[in-house]
Amino acid sequence: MTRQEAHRLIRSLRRQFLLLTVTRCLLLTTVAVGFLGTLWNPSDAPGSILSANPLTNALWLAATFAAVVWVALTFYSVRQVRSTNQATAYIASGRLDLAEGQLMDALRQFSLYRNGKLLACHKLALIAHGQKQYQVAAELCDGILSFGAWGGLSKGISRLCRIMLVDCHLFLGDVTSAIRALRPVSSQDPDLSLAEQLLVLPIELRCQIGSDHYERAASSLSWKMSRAELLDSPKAALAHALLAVACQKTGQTENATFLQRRAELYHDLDELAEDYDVLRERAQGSSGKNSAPQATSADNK
Amino acid sequence: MQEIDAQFIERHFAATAPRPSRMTGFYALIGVVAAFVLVWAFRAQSWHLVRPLVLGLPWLVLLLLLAVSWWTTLQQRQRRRMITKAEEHVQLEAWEQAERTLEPALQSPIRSSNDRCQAFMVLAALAEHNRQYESAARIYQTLLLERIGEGYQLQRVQLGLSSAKLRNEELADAVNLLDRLEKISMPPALQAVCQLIRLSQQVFMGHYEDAVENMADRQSLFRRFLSTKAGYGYGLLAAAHHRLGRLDEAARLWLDATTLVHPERLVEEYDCLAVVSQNYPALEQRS
Repeated sequence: MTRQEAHRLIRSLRRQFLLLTVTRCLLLTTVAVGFLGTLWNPSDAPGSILSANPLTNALWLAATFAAVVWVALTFYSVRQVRSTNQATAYIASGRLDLAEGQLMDALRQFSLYRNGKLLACHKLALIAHGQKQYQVAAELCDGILSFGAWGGLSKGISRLCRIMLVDCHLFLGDVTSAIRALRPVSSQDPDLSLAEQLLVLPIELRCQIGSDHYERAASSLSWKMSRAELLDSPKAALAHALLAVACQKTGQTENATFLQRRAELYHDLDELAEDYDVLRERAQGSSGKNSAPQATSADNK
Repeated sequence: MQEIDAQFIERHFAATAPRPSRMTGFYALIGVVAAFVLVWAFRAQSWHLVRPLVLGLPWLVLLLLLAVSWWTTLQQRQRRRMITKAEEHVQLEAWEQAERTLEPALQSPIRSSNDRCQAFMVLAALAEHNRQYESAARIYQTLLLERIGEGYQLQRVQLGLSSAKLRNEELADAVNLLDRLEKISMPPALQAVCQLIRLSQQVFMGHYEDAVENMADRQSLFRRFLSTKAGYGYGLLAAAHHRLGRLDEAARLWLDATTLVHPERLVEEYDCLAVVSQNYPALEQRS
Protein backbone atom coordinates (compact mmCIF):
# COMPACT_ATOMS: atom_id res chain seq x y z
CA MET A 1 0.00 0.00 0.00
CA THR A 2 1.28 3.46 -0.85
CA ARG A 3 0.73 6.70 1.03
CA GLN A 4 -1.71 7.91 -1.66
CA GLU A 5 -3.72 4.69 -1.36
CA ALA A 6 -3.87 5.17 2.40
CA HIS A 7 -5.05 8.73 1.89
CA ARG A 8 -7.74 7.56 -0.56
CA LEU A 9 -8.81 4.87 1.89
CA ILE A 10 -9.36 7.41 4.66
CA ARG A 11 -11.33 9.66 2.25
CA SER A 12 -13.48 6.69 1.25
CA LEU A 13 -14.05 5.88 4.94
CA ARG A 14 -15.24 9.45 5.46
CA ARG A 15 -17.78 9.02 2.63
CA GLN A 16 -18.90 5.64 3.97
CA PHE A 17 -19.38 7.09 7.46
CA LEU A 18 -21.52 9.88 6.00
CA LEU A 19 -23.60 7.29 4.14
CA LEU A 20 -24.06 5.15 7.21
CA THR A 21 -25.01 8.17 9.33
CA VAL A 22 -27.68 9.05 6.77
CA THR A 23 -28.87 5.42 6.65
CA ARG A 24 -29.08 5.18 10.44
CA CYS A 25 -30.91 8.50 10.72
CA LEU A 26 -33.38 7.44 8.04
CA LEU A 27 -34.08 4.09 9.66
CA LEU A 28 -34.42 5.57 13.15
CA THR A 29 -36.68 8.35 11.93
CA THR A 30 -38.87 5.87 10.06
CA VAL A 31 -39.21 3.66 13.15
CA ALA A 32 -39.93 6.60 15.44
CA VAL A 33 -42.36 8.43 13.13
CA GLY A 34 -44.12 5.23 12.13
CA PHE A 35 -44.50 4.00 15.67
CA LEU A 36 -45.59 7.29 17.21
CA GLY A 37 -47.88 8.06 14.27
CA THR A 38 -49.70 4.77 14.74
CA LEU A 39 -49.92 5.23 18.51
CA TRP A 40 -51.50 8.67 18.31
CA ASN A 41 -54.11 7.87 15.76
CA PRO A 42 -57.31 8.50 17.69
CA SER A 43 -59.81 7.21 15.13
CA ASP A 44 -59.32 3.50 15.62
CA ALA A 45 -61.21 1.08 17.71
CA PRO A 46 -59.38 -0.37 20.70
CA GLY A 47 -57.63 -3.69 20.30
CA SER A 48 -56.87 -3.63 16.57
CA ILE A 49 -53.40 -3.62 15.10
CA LEU A 50 -54.33 -2.58 11.59
CA SER A 51 -56.24 0.63 11.24
CA ALA A 52 -59.06 1.71 8.95
CA ASN A 53 -56.82 4.59 7.96
CA PRO A 54 -54.39 3.50 5.14
CA LEU A 55 -51.85 6.15 6.18
CA THR A 56 -51.64 4.69 9.68
CA ASN A 57 -51.23 1.22 8.23
CA ALA A 58 -48.47 2.47 5.93
CA LEU A 59 -46.69 4.10 8.88
CA TRP A 60 -46.94 0.92 10.94
CA LEU A 61 -45.58 -1.22 8.09
CA ALA A 62 -42.77 1.27 7.39
CA ALA A 63 -41.70 1.18 11.08
CA THR A 64 -41.69 -2.61 11.10
CA PHE A 65 -39.80 -2.74 7.78
CA ALA A 66 -37.16 -0.25 9.05
CA ALA A 67 -36.67 -2.30 12.23
CA VAL A 68 -36.22 -5.50 10.18
CA VAL A 69 -33.74 -3.73 7.85
CA TRP A 70 -31.76 -2.53 10.90
CA VAL A 71 -31.53 -6.08 12.29
CA ALA A 72 -30.54 -7.49 8.85
CA LEU A 73 -27.84 -4.84 8.41
CA THR A 74 -26.55 -5.56 11.90
CA PHE A 75 -26.13 -9.22 10.99
CA TYR A 76 -24.44 -8.18 7.74
CA SER A 77 -22.08 -5.90 9.71
CA VAL A 78 -21.03 -8.79 11.94
CA ARG A 79 -19.45 -10.37 8.83
CA GLN A 80 -17.03 -7.47 8.73
CA VAL A 81 -15.97 -8.01 12.33
CA ARG A 82 -15.44 -11.68 11.46
CA SER A 83 -13.21 -10.69 8.51
CA THR A 84 -11.18 -8.44 10.82
CA ASN A 85 -10.78 -11.27 13.32
CA GLN A 86 -9.66 -13.59 10.53
CA ALA A 87 -7.12 -10.94 9.47
CA THR A 88 -5.84 -10.80 13.07
CA ALA A 89 -5.22 -14.55 12.92
CA TYR A 90 -3.33 -14.06 9.61
CA ILE A 91 -1.22 -11.31 11.20
CA ALA A 92 -0.41 -13.58 14.15
CA SER A 93 0.78 -16.30 11.76
CA GLY A 94 2.84 -13.81 9.75
CA ARG A 95 0.74 -13.96 6.55
CA LEU A 96 0.54 -10.21 6.17
CA ASP A 97 -0.47 -10.22 2.46
CA LEU A 98 -3.55 -12.35 3.20
CA ALA A 99 -4.37 -10.19 6.21
CA GLU A 100 -4.11 -7.02 4.10
CA GLY A 101 -6.47 -8.45 1.44
CA GLN A 102 -8.96 -9.53 4.07
CA LEU A 103 -8.93 -6.11 5.73
CA MET A 104 -9.31 -4.26 2.43
CA ASP A 105 -12.38 -6.44 1.68
CA ALA A 106 -13.77 -5.67 5.13
CA LEU A 107 -13.28 -1.95 4.56
CA ARG A 108 -15.11 -2.07 1.22
CA GLN A 109 -18.19 -3.81 2.67
CA PHE A 110 -21.10 -1.76 3.94
CA SER A 111 -21.48 -1.68 7.70
CA LEU A 112 -23.99 -0.02 9.97
CA TYR A 113 -21.34 0.46 12.66
CA ARG A 114 -18.21 2.60 12.50
CA ASN A 115 -16.24 0.68 15.12
CA GLY A 116 -15.73 -2.40 12.94
CA LYS A 117 -14.33 -0.31 10.08
CA LEU A 118 -12.04 1.68 12.35
CA LEU A 119 -10.75 -1.55 13.89
CA ALA A 120 -10.03 -2.94 10.40
CA CYS A 121 -8.25 0.28 9.47
CA HIS A 122 -6.19 0.11 12.66
CA LYS A 123 -5.13 -3.45 11.81
CA LEU A 124 -4.13 -2.25 8.34
CA ALA A 125 -1.96 0.44 9.96
CA LEU A 126 -0.46 -2.26 12.18
CA ILE A 127 0.51 -4.28 9.10
CA ALA A 128 2.06 -1.22 7.43
CA HIS A 129 4.00 -0.49 10.64
CA GLY A 130 5.17 -4.11 10.78
CA GLN A 131 6.40 -3.78 7.16
CA LYS A 132 8.26 -0.58 8.15
CA GLN A 133 6.03 1.53 5.85
CA TYR A 134 5.92 4.25 8.48
CA GLN A 135 4.47 6.97 6.24
CA VAL A 136 1.54 4.75 5.28
CA ALA A 137 0.95 3.72 8.90
CA ALA A 138 1.14 7.36 10.02
CA GLU A 139 -1.34 8.41 7.32
CA LEU A 140 -3.79 5.70 8.41
CA CYS A 141 -3.39 6.43 12.15
CA ASP A 142 -3.77 10.16 11.58
CA GLY A 143 -6.90 9.47 9.52
CA ILE A 144 -8.39 7.20 12.20
CA LEU A 145 -7.68 9.74 14.96
CA SER A 146 -9.32 12.49 12.92
CA PHE A 147 -12.69 10.71 13.30
CA GLY A 148 -12.61 11.33 17.08
CA ALA A 149 -15.03 10.06 19.69
CA TRP A 150 -18.06 11.39 17.77
CA GLY A 151 -16.94 9.37 14.76
CA GLY A 152 -17.29 6.13 16.74
CA LEU A 153 -13.63 5.88 17.75
CA SER A 154 -13.29 3.94 21.00
CA LYS A 155 -10.79 5.02 23.67
CA GLY A 156 -8.75 1.83 23.25
CA ILE A 157 -8.28 2.10 19.48
CA SER A 158 -7.68 5.83 19.78
CA ARG A 159 -4.82 5.28 22.25
CA LEU A 160 -3.26 2.48 20.23
CA CYS A 161 -3.41 4.58 17.05
CA ARG A 162 -1.88 7.54 18.82
CA ILE A 163 0.98 5.42 20.17
CA MET A 164 1.57 3.96 16.70
CA LEU A 165 1.45 7.41 15.13
CA VAL A 166 4.09 8.71 17.56
CA ASP A 167 6.26 5.67 16.83
CA CYS A 168 5.94 6.29 13.07
CA HIS A 169 6.87 9.98 13.46
CA LEU A 170 9.92 8.97 15.49
CA PHE A 171 11.02 6.43 12.89
CA LEU A 172 10.54 9.11 10.22
CA GLY A 173 12.79 11.41 12.27
CA ASP A 174 10.06 13.96 13.03
CA VAL A 175 10.43 14.38 16.79
CA THR A 176 8.35 17.59 16.95
CA SER A 177 5.29 15.92 15.39
CA ALA A 178 5.84 12.89 17.63
CA ILE A 179 5.82 15.04 20.77
CA ARG A 180 2.71 16.87 19.56
CA ALA A 181 0.92 13.57 18.85
CA LEU A 182 1.94 12.09 22.23
CA ARG A 183 0.75 15.11 24.26
CA PRO A 184 -2.64 13.61 25.34
CA VAL A 185 -0.97 10.37 26.54
CA SER A 186 1.48 9.80 29.38
CA SER A 187 2.97 6.49 30.49
CA GLN A 188 2.04 7.30 34.10
CA ASP A 189 -1.59 8.05 33.29
CA PRO A 190 -3.59 5.93 35.81
CA ASP A 191 -6.23 5.25 33.14
CA LEU A 192 -3.75 3.27 31.05
CA SER A 193 -3.62 -0.49 31.40
CA LEU A 194 -0.24 -2.07 32.11
CA ALA A 195 0.01 -3.23 28.47
CA GLU A 196 -0.59 0.35 27.30
CA GLN A 197 1.94 1.73 29.79
CA LEU A 198 4.49 -0.72 28.41
CA LEU A 199 3.76 0.47 24.87
CA VAL A 200 4.01 4.15 25.78
CA LEU A 201 7.12 4.09 28.00
CA PRO A 202 9.86 3.47 25.37
CA ILE A 203 8.17 5.83 22.91
CA GLU A 204 7.85 8.57 25.52
CA LEU A 205 11.52 8.13 26.45
CA ARG A 206 12.53 8.35 22.78
CA CYS A 207 10.57 11.61 22.48
CA GLN A 208 12.11 13.07 25.65
CA ILE A 209 15.68 12.08 24.83
CA GLY A 210 15.23 13.08 21.18
CA SER A 211 14.15 16.56 22.29
CA ASP A 212 16.85 16.82 24.99
CA HIS A 213 14.38 16.78 27.90
CA TYR A 214 16.68 14.69 30.09
CA GLU A 215 15.30 15.85 33.46
CA ARG A 216 11.83 14.73 32.47
CA ALA A 217 13.14 11.40 31.17
CA ALA A 218 15.05 10.75 34.40
CA SER A 219 12.10 11.61 36.67
CA SER A 220 10.17 8.82 38.48
CA LEU A 221 13.11 6.56 37.73
CA SER A 222 12.12 3.63 39.94
CA TRP A 223 8.58 3.59 38.48
CA LYS A 224 10.00 3.65 34.96
CA MET A 225 12.46 0.87 35.77
CA SER A 226 9.71 -1.29 37.26
CA ARG A 227 7.82 -1.01 33.96
CA ALA A 228 10.91 -1.32 31.74
CA GLU A 229 11.71 -4.63 33.46
CA LEU A 230 8.44 -6.05 32.12
CA LEU A 231 9.21 -5.21 28.48
CA ASP A 232 10.51 -7.81 26.05
CA SER A 233 14.31 -7.94 25.74
CA PRO A 234 14.93 -5.43 22.89
CA LYS A 235 12.44 -2.89 24.24
CA ALA A 236 13.76 -3.35 27.79
CA ALA A 237 17.29 -2.72 26.47
CA LEU A 238 16.12 0.38 24.62
CA ALA A 239 14.28 1.80 27.65
CA HIS A 240 17.22 1.12 29.97
CA ALA A 241 19.73 2.60 27.50
CA LEU A 242 17.62 5.75 27.16
CA LEU A 243 17.21 6.03 30.94
CA ALA A 244 21.00 5.63 31.22
CA VAL A 245 21.46 8.55 28.81
CA ALA A 246 19.00 10.65 30.83
CA CYS A 247 20.77 9.82 34.11
CA GLN A 248 24.17 10.53 32.59
CA LYS A 249 23.01 13.94 31.38
CA THR A 250 21.45 14.81 34.74
CA GLY A 251 24.55 13.87 36.71
CA GLN A 252 23.28 10.57 38.17
CA THR A 253 26.43 8.74 37.08
CA GLU A 254 26.04 5.63 39.25
CA ASN A 255 22.49 5.07 38.08
CA ALA A 256 23.61 5.64 34.50
CA THR A 257 26.34 2.98 34.76
CA PHE A 258 23.92 0.50 36.33
CA LEU A 259 21.25 1.12 33.70
CA GLN A 260 23.74 0.91 30.84
CA ARG A 261 25.02 -2.41 32.16
CA ARG A 262 21.49 -3.71 32.42
CA ALA A 263 20.68 -2.54 28.90
CA GLU A 264 23.67 -4.48 27.57
CA LEU A 265 22.49 -7.61 29.36
CA TYR A 266 19.05 -7.38 27.77
CA HIS A 267 20.08 -7.01 24.15
CA ASP A 268 22.92 -6.11 21.77
CA LEU A 269 22.88 -2.31 21.78
CA ASP A 270 24.74 -1.98 18.44
CA GLU A 271 21.95 -3.97 16.83
CA LEU A 272 19.37 -1.71 18.46
CA ALA A 273 21.21 1.43 17.36
CA GLU A 274 20.67 0.34 13.73
CA ASP A 275 16.91 0.66 14.26
CA TYR A 276 16.74 3.60 16.63
CA ASP A 277 18.34 6.90 15.58
CA VAL A 278 18.12 8.25 19.10
CA LEU A 279 20.49 5.55 20.38
CA ARG A 280 22.87 5.91 17.45
CA GLU A 281 23.10 9.68 17.86
CA ARG A 282 23.69 9.44 21.62
CA ALA A 283 26.26 6.65 21.15
CA GLN A 284 28.15 8.79 18.62
CA GLY A 285 27.77 11.85 20.83
CA SER A 286 29.08 10.15 23.93
CA SER A 287 31.80 8.00 22.34
CA GLY A 288 35.10 8.92 23.89
CA LYS A 289 33.47 10.97 26.62
CA ASN A 290 32.35 8.14 28.88
CA SER A 291 34.30 5.19 30.12
CA ALA A 292 33.37 1.85 28.60
CA PRO A 293 30.99 -0.17 30.77
CA GLN A 294 32.08 -3.47 32.26
CA ALA A 295 31.80 -6.49 29.99
CA THR A 296 28.93 -8.85 30.76
CA SER A 297 28.97 -12.59 30.31
CA ALA A 298 26.46 -12.08 27.48
CA ASP A 299 29.16 -10.21 25.56
CA ASN A 300 31.65 -12.97 26.09
CA LYS A 301 29.57 -15.69 24.51
CA MET B 1 -3.87 -14.35 52.32
CA GLN B 2 -6.53 -17.06 52.10
CA GLU B 3 -5.31 -20.65 51.94
CA ILE B 4 -5.72 -22.03 48.43
CA ASP B 5 -6.51 -25.64 49.28
CA ALA B 6 -8.20 -28.42 47.30
CA GLN B 7 -11.68 -27.43 48.49
CA PHE B 8 -11.12 -23.79 47.59
CA ILE B 9 -9.95 -24.77 44.10
CA GLU B 10 -12.82 -27.20 43.54
CA ARG B 11 -15.36 -24.63 44.72
CA HIS B 12 -14.07 -21.97 42.36
CA PHE B 13 -13.81 -24.30 39.37
CA ALA B 14 -17.44 -25.23 40.01
CA ALA B 15 -18.51 -21.60 40.47
CA THR B 16 -16.87 -20.41 37.25
CA ALA B 17 -18.02 -23.32 35.06
CA PRO B 18 -20.14 -21.97 32.20
CA ARG B 19 -23.77 -23.03 32.58
CA PRO B 20 -25.10 -24.40 29.30
CA SER B 21 -28.54 -24.35 30.93
CA ARG B 22 -28.35 -20.54 31.14
CA MET B 23 -27.77 -20.24 27.40
CA THR B 24 -30.57 -22.75 26.75
CA GLY B 25 -32.77 -20.69 29.05
CA PHE B 26 -31.88 -17.53 27.15
CA TYR B 27 -32.73 -19.13 23.78
CA ALA B 28 -35.97 -20.46 25.29
CA LEU B 29 -36.76 -16.92 26.45
CA ILE B 30 -36.21 -15.62 22.89
CA GLY B 31 -38.58 -18.35 21.66
CA VAL B 32 -41.21 -17.43 24.25
CA VAL B 33 -40.92 -13.75 23.34
CA ALA B 34 -41.25 -14.52 19.61
CA ALA B 35 -44.34 -16.71 20.31
CA PHE B 36 -45.80 -14.00 22.51
CA VAL B 37 -45.32 -11.34 19.81
CA LEU B 38 -47.00 -13.58 17.22
CA VAL B 39 -49.93 -14.46 19.48
CA TRP B 40 -50.23 -10.83 20.46
CA ALA B 41 -50.29 -9.71 16.82
CA PHE B 42 -53.13 -12.05 15.88
CA ARG B 43 -55.15 -12.26 19.06
CA ALA B 44 -54.73 -8.94 20.84
CA GLN B 45 -57.61 -7.32 18.97
CA SER B 46 -60.07 -9.83 20.40
CA TRP B 47 -59.04 -8.92 23.95
CA HIS B 48 -60.29 -5.34 23.57
CA LEU B 49 -57.22 -3.68 25.03
CA VAL B 50 -56.30 -0.04 24.52
CA ARG B 51 -54.45 0.60 21.28
CA PRO B 52 -51.16 1.96 22.76
CA LEU B 53 -50.86 -1.22 24.84
CA VAL B 54 -51.54 -3.46 21.81
CA LEU B 55 -48.87 -1.72 19.78
CA GLY B 56 -46.37 -0.91 22.53
CA LEU B 57 -46.15 -4.13 24.53
CA PRO B 58 -44.33 -6.31 21.93
CA TRP B 59 -41.76 -3.52 21.48
CA LEU B 60 -41.30 -3.24 25.23
CA VAL B 61 -40.77 -6.99 25.53
CA LEU B 62 -38.21 -6.89 22.74
CA LEU B 63 -36.42 -3.99 24.38
CA LEU B 64 -36.37 -5.91 27.65
CA LEU B 65 -34.79 -8.89 25.88
CA LEU B 66 -32.13 -6.64 24.37
CA ALA B 67 -31.45 -5.11 27.77
CA VAL B 68 -31.00 -8.57 29.32
CA SER B 69 -28.49 -9.65 26.66
CA TRP B 70 -26.66 -6.30 26.91
CA TRP B 71 -26.43 -6.65 30.70
CA THR B 72 -25.08 -10.22 30.43
CA THR B 73 -22.41 -9.13 27.94
CA LEU B 74 -21.49 -6.19 30.15
CA GLN B 75 -21.02 -8.48 33.13
CA GLN B 76 -18.74 -10.81 31.16
CA ARG B 77 -16.71 -7.80 30.01
CA GLN B 78 -16.37 -6.57 33.58
CA ARG B 79 -15.20 -10.00 34.66
CA ARG B 80 -12.61 -10.05 31.85
CA ARG B 81 -11.38 -6.61 32.95
CA MET B 82 -11.02 -7.86 36.54
CA ILE B 83 -9.03 -10.92 35.43
CA THR B 84 -6.73 -8.79 33.27
CA LYS B 85 -6.21 -6.36 36.14
CA ALA B 86 -5.39 -9.25 38.50
CA GLU B 87 -2.87 -10.54 35.98
CA GLU B 88 -1.30 -7.08 35.80
CA HIS B 89 -0.96 -7.07 39.60
CA VAL B 90 0.75 -10.46 39.43
CA GLN B 91 3.20 -9.10 36.84
CA LEU B 92 3.94 -6.20 39.16
CA GLU B 93 4.19 -8.60 42.11
CA ALA B 94 1.39 -6.79 43.97
CA TRP B 95 0.09 -10.06 45.38
CA GLU B 96 -2.54 -8.78 47.80
CA GLN B 97 -4.09 -6.53 45.18
CA ALA B 98 -4.06 -9.43 42.73
CA GLU B 99 -5.93 -11.61 45.21
CA ARG B 100 -8.46 -8.88 45.99
CA THR B 101 -9.11 -8.24 42.30
CA LEU B 102 -9.36 -11.90 41.35
CA GLU B 103 -11.66 -13.01 44.17
CA PRO B 104 -14.93 -11.50 42.81
CA ALA B 105 -14.16 -12.69 39.27
CA LEU B 106 -14.12 -16.31 40.48
CA GLN B 107 -17.58 -16.15 42.06
CA SER B 108 -19.76 -16.64 38.99
CA PRO B 109 -19.64 -18.42 35.61
CA ILE B 110 -17.01 -17.28 33.09
CA ARG B 111 -18.28 -18.00 29.60
CA SER B 112 -15.01 -17.63 27.70
CA SER B 113 -12.63 -20.56 28.06
CA ASN B 114 -9.66 -18.21 27.51
CA ASP B 115 -10.71 -15.90 30.31
CA ARG B 116 -11.36 -18.81 32.65
CA CYS B 117 -7.92 -20.27 31.96
CA GLN B 118 -6.32 -16.84 32.47
CA ALA B 119 -8.14 -16.43 35.80
CA PHE B 120 -6.97 -19.80 37.13
CA MET B 121 -3.42 -19.17 35.96
CA VAL B 122 -3.47 -16.03 38.10
CA LEU B 123 -4.76 -18.12 41.02
CA ALA B 124 -1.96 -20.66 40.41
CA ALA B 125 0.59 -17.83 40.44
CA LEU B 126 -0.83 -16.69 43.79
CA ALA B 127 -0.57 -20.25 45.13
CA GLU B 128 3.04 -20.49 43.95
CA HIS B 129 3.85 -17.19 45.60
CA ASN B 130 2.40 -18.65 48.85
CA ARG B 131 4.61 -21.70 48.28
CA GLN B 132 1.46 -23.85 47.99
CA TYR B 133 2.93 -25.80 45.10
CA GLU B 134 0.58 -28.75 45.51
CA SER B 135 -2.39 -26.41 45.05
CA ALA B 136 -0.76 -24.77 42.03
CA ALA B 137 -0.19 -28.20 40.50
CA ARG B 138 -3.82 -29.13 41.19
CA ILE B 139 -5.02 -26.00 39.38
CA TYR B 140 -2.81 -26.69 36.37
CA GLN B 141 -3.89 -30.32 36.28
CA THR B 142 -7.58 -29.39 36.36
CA LEU B 143 -7.06 -26.89 33.53
CA LEU B 144 -5.39 -29.59 31.46
CA LEU B 145 -7.90 -32.32 32.29
CA GLU B 146 -10.90 -30.11 31.51
CA ARG B 147 -9.10 -28.54 28.53
CA ILE B 148 -9.85 -25.01 29.67
CA GLY B 149 -8.00 -22.53 27.44
CA GLU B 150 -6.44 -22.46 23.98
CA GLY B 151 -3.30 -24.07 22.54
CA TYR B 152 -0.74 -21.47 23.63
CA GLN B 153 -2.33 -21.13 27.07
CA LEU B 154 -2.37 -24.90 27.57
CA GLN B 155 1.33 -25.09 26.73
CA ARG B 156 1.95 -22.43 29.40
CA VAL B 157 -0.18 -24.49 31.79
CA GLN B 158 1.93 -27.60 31.12
CA LEU B 159 5.10 -25.62 31.82
CA GLY B 160 3.54 -24.30 35.03
CA LEU B 161 2.63 -27.83 36.03
CA SER B 162 6.16 -29.13 35.51
CA SER B 163 7.58 -26.26 37.55
CA ALA B 164 5.05 -26.75 40.36
CA LYS B 165 5.74 -30.50 40.48
CA LEU B 166 9.46 -29.84 40.61
CA ARG B 167 9.07 -27.45 43.53
CA ASN B 168 6.75 -29.93 45.21
CA GLU B 169 9.54 -32.50 44.83
CA GLU B 170 7.49 -34.80 42.58
CA LEU B 171 10.68 -35.20 40.60
CA ALA B 172 9.84 -38.21 38.42
CA ASP B 173 6.61 -36.60 37.21
CA ALA B 174 8.36 -33.29 36.60
CA VAL B 175 11.18 -34.87 34.60
CA ASN B 176 8.77 -36.95 32.51
CA LEU B 177 6.66 -33.90 31.75
CA LEU B 178 9.73 -31.85 30.82
CA ASP B 179 10.97 -34.65 28.53
CA ARG B 180 7.60 -34.60 26.76
CA LEU B 181 7.50 -30.81 26.52
CA GLU B 182 10.99 -30.63 25.01
CA LYS B 183 9.84 -32.86 22.17
CA ILE B 184 6.81 -30.83 21.14
CA SER B 185 6.97 -27.76 18.95
CA MET B 186 6.60 -24.57 20.99
CA PRO B 187 7.11 -20.85 20.35
CA PRO B 188 10.69 -19.80 21.24
CA ALA B 189 9.50 -17.77 24.25
CA LEU B 190 7.98 -20.91 25.77
CA GLN B 191 11.05 -22.96 24.82
CA ALA B 192 13.09 -20.50 26.89
CA VAL B 193 10.75 -21.01 29.86
CA CYS B 194 11.03 -24.78 29.38
CA GLN B 195 14.84 -24.55 29.39
CA LEU B 196 14.74 -22.46 32.58
CA ILE B 197 12.65 -25.13 34.32
CA ARG B 198 14.96 -27.86 33.01
CA LEU B 199 17.97 -25.94 34.32
CA SER B 200 16.38 -25.55 37.74
CA GLN B 201 15.63 -29.28 37.78
CA GLN B 202 19.24 -30.12 36.87
CA VAL B 203 20.64 -27.81 39.56
CA PHE B 204 18.11 -29.06 42.13
CA MET B 205 18.99 -32.69 41.41
CA GLY B 206 22.75 -32.01 41.40
CA HIS B 207 23.29 -32.64 37.67
CA TYR B 208 25.69 -29.71 37.42
CA GLU B 209 27.63 -30.95 34.38
CA ASP B 210 24.37 -31.32 32.45
CA ALA B 211 23.31 -27.87 33.61
CA VAL B 212 26.34 -26.12 32.11
CA GLU B 213 26.63 -28.38 29.03
CA ASN B 214 24.83 -26.10 26.53
CA MET B 215 25.41 -22.94 28.48
CA ALA B 216 25.97 -20.62 25.50
CA ASP B 217 22.76 -21.75 23.76
CA ARG B 218 20.77 -21.48 26.95
CA GLN B 219 22.16 -18.08 27.83
CA SER B 220 21.36 -16.81 24.36
CA LEU B 221 17.80 -18.20 24.58
CA PHE B 222 17.27 -16.64 28.01
CA ARG B 223 18.67 -13.31 26.88
CA ARG B 224 16.45 -13.15 23.79
CA PHE B 225 13.17 -14.33 25.25
CA LEU B 226 13.11 -14.08 29.04
CA SER B 227 14.01 -10.40 29.39
CA THR B 228 14.45 -9.67 33.13
CA LYS B 229 13.63 -13.28 34.09
CA ALA B 230 16.87 -14.28 32.35
CA GLY B 231 18.43 -13.23 35.68
CA TYR B 232 17.04 -16.41 37.28
CA GLY B 233 18.71 -18.46 34.53
CA TYR B 234 22.06 -16.73 35.06
CA GLY B 235 21.71 -17.29 38.81
CA LEU B 236 21.07 -21.02 38.35
CA LEU B 237 24.03 -21.29 35.96
CA ALA B 238 26.16 -19.51 38.56
CA ALA B 239 25.03 -22.10 41.12
CA ALA B 240 26.02 -24.96 38.80
CA HIS B 241 29.45 -23.41 38.13
CA HIS B 242 29.96 -22.80 41.84
CA ARG B 243 29.28 -26.47 42.62
CA LEU B 244 31.71 -27.48 39.87
CA GLY B 245 34.38 -25.25 41.40
CA ARG B 246 34.50 -22.81 38.46
CA LEU B 247 34.49 -19.80 40.70
CA ASP B 248 35.34 -17.04 38.21
CA GLU B 249 32.54 -18.07 35.85
CA ALA B 250 30.16 -18.37 38.80
CA ALA B 251 31.09 -14.89 40.04
CA ARG B 252 30.55 -13.32 36.61
CA LEU B 253 27.19 -15.04 36.11
CA TRP B 254 26.04 -14.06 39.61
CA LEU B 255 26.93 -10.45 38.81
CA ASP B 256 24.79 -10.65 35.65
CA ALA B 257 21.96 -12.30 37.57
CA THR B 258 21.97 -9.65 40.28
CA THR B 259 22.14 -6.88 37.71
CA LEU B 260 18.75 -8.01 36.45
CA VAL B 261 17.08 -9.34 39.60
CA HIS B 262 17.59 -8.37 43.23
CA PRO B 263 19.64 -11.05 45.09
CA GLU B 264 16.93 -11.44 47.75
CA ARG B 265 14.36 -12.11 45.04
CA LEU B 266 16.65 -14.69 43.42
CA VAL B 267 17.09 -16.59 46.69
CA GLU B 268 13.37 -16.31 47.44
CA GLU B 269 12.59 -17.94 44.10
CA TYR B 270 15.28 -20.65 44.25
CA ASP B 271 16.53 -21.77 47.67
CA CYS B 272 19.64 -23.32 46.08
CA LEU B 273 20.90 -19.81 45.23
CA ALA B 274 21.44 -18.96 48.91
CA VAL B 275 24.91 -20.57 48.83
CA VAL B 276 25.90 -18.54 45.77
CA SER B 277 24.55 -15.39 47.35
CA GLN B 278 26.76 -15.91 50.39
CA ASN B 279 29.89 -16.56 48.34
CA TYR B 280 29.84 -13.91 45.62
CA PRO B 281 29.30 -10.18 45.61
CA ALA B 282 26.08 -8.97 44.02
CA LEU B 283 25.70 -5.81 42.00
CA GLU B 284 24.09 -3.14 44.13
CA GLN B 285 20.59 -2.45 42.82
CA ARG B 286 20.02 1.17 41.89
CA SER B 287 17.23 3.78 41.63
